[in-house]
Amino acid sequence: SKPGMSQPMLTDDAADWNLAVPAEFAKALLANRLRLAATAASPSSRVGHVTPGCLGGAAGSAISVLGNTKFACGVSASVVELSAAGTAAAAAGCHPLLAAGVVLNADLPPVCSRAFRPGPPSDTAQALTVQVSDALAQSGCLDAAQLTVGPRHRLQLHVDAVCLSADGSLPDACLLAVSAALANLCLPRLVVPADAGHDDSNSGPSVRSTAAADVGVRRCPSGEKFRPAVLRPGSAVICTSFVAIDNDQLLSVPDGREEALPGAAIVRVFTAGGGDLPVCVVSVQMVGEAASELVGRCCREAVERHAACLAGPLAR
Amino acid sequence: MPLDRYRNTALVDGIDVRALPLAGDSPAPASQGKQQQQQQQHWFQRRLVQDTVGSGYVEFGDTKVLCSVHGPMEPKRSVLTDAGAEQSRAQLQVYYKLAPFASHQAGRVSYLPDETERRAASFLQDTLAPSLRLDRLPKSRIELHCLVLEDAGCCLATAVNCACLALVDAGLEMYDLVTAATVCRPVGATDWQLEVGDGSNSGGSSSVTLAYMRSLRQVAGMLVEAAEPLQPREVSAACRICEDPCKMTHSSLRQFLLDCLPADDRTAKIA
Repeated sequence: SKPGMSQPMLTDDAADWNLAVPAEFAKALLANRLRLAATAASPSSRVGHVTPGCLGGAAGSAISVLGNTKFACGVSASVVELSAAGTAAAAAGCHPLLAAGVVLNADLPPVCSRAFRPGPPSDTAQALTVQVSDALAQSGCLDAAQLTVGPRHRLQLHVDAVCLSADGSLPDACLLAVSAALANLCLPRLVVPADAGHDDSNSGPSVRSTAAADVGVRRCPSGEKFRPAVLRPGSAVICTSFVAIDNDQLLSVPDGREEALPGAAIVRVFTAGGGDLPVCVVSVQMVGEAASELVGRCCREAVERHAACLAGPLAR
Repeated sequence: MPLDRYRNTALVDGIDVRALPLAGDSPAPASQGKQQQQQQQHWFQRRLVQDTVGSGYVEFGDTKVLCSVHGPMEPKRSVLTDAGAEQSRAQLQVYYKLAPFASHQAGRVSYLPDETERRAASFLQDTLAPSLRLDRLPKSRIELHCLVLEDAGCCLATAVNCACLALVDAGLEMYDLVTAATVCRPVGATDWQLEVGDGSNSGGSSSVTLAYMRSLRQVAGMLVEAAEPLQPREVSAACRICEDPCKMTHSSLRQFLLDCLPADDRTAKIA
């Protein structure tokens, strides 16, 4: 493929065949053990590539590239003051990630694909947000204690993952960017003055808006920075997608065309760990039917890919 | 403020860490006061987005903008427009959005579009529509989506340059390349300064963005934002300062597009 071209070039006959009957064309390719996906070019392309710290507007940022799928993730931090009653009441019934102080949103804007329209987030975007939030909450890699600032204050992280180019394996690229952005987080050192006041009155609402009020926390005047280890050192949360065809062929990190193959089952394996934590499978999500031994093979390959990601693009 | 019910929202509103005051009543560190530096260069890239007709990505300093073009597609029917006019030319629709983490100022950008973004989209549409051969695509609609990944100054002008690159990448016929530049006047200053993409002189009291078609020697669009009314001679002075950067960007963009052509086709010149 030429520089700047995102797909390998087909001959005219092959391109016509692909246009007329894409499903038959894809099956013929697979019968000959061929793949057109950009992630099939090399093992390193299936691991992906990450550029951390590339967006200056965010406290932590990263852009992940996985084949033709690209995600940009930015992390912003704010300081909140929580009363004890407010903490319990607000945390009851909400997502564990929100209770830990991490607000995560995955966005699929129209710029990344023709399939997404301007306006409220699509079902795909909302499902992606839920998938990524659940994976992070269940991973055991998040250390919420790192967000504590003094006895009555806490950092609240806004993690925004925006898709730049959508071509399959969206959770894979999204989690890669989110993990790298959280590892890249760099904040100004904060101090809590000893005389920071606290209103003990319980007459007001249990969760209090502090947008306009002074929370009593200050930035260190020396401009010192610190890196909260929100993700435990050396760990990450990774997703590896597979497409199972006829319970026989297994395509890892598929592109959009392979995910849309008729009769194919999509298996997404979420893995977490690294550093002091063992790498394990957090959850497996399936669309369609696949044999159990195939799912087992997916889990094994996902764990191998997790180790490759930790050694490669997410190496710290 | 409208409530966003489709996304996760914070349990408690907080104060951005960048907006927190310094401890010990220390004054904020004085800005470095960067001198007027040499002209920054644009960095262009195309074909970044897979599922689009055309796409472009431009970096100007720290400002980063991504644009993609969809279409031609079926036009939107409107009972208010003249049916004949609607069908003889393509409709150009521009959407402009800042990423939540794009702003260098304290605070996140909301997912819901605000007045600034709508105004920028309107400016892009008014600027780019005259440069396109929309009469060549009757009964159709073209959508241009613009996403700002990082806004460190000169954002609107960079968006114009990126949108032009995306439209050319989409293969749409244009009368000329449209390039833009922004000048600003900080509070208390009398002279206009060229806005650069490193955040050093953005956010002044007044700014003028000029979009220019070099080959046709015509102004495609102009946006004046000022806290108080400006004299016509002040606006003219700002436009004269913008003209040279627009020409330089035009040359850079033209050369980039020529370099993207296969070697055999490079003898054909872009007008």
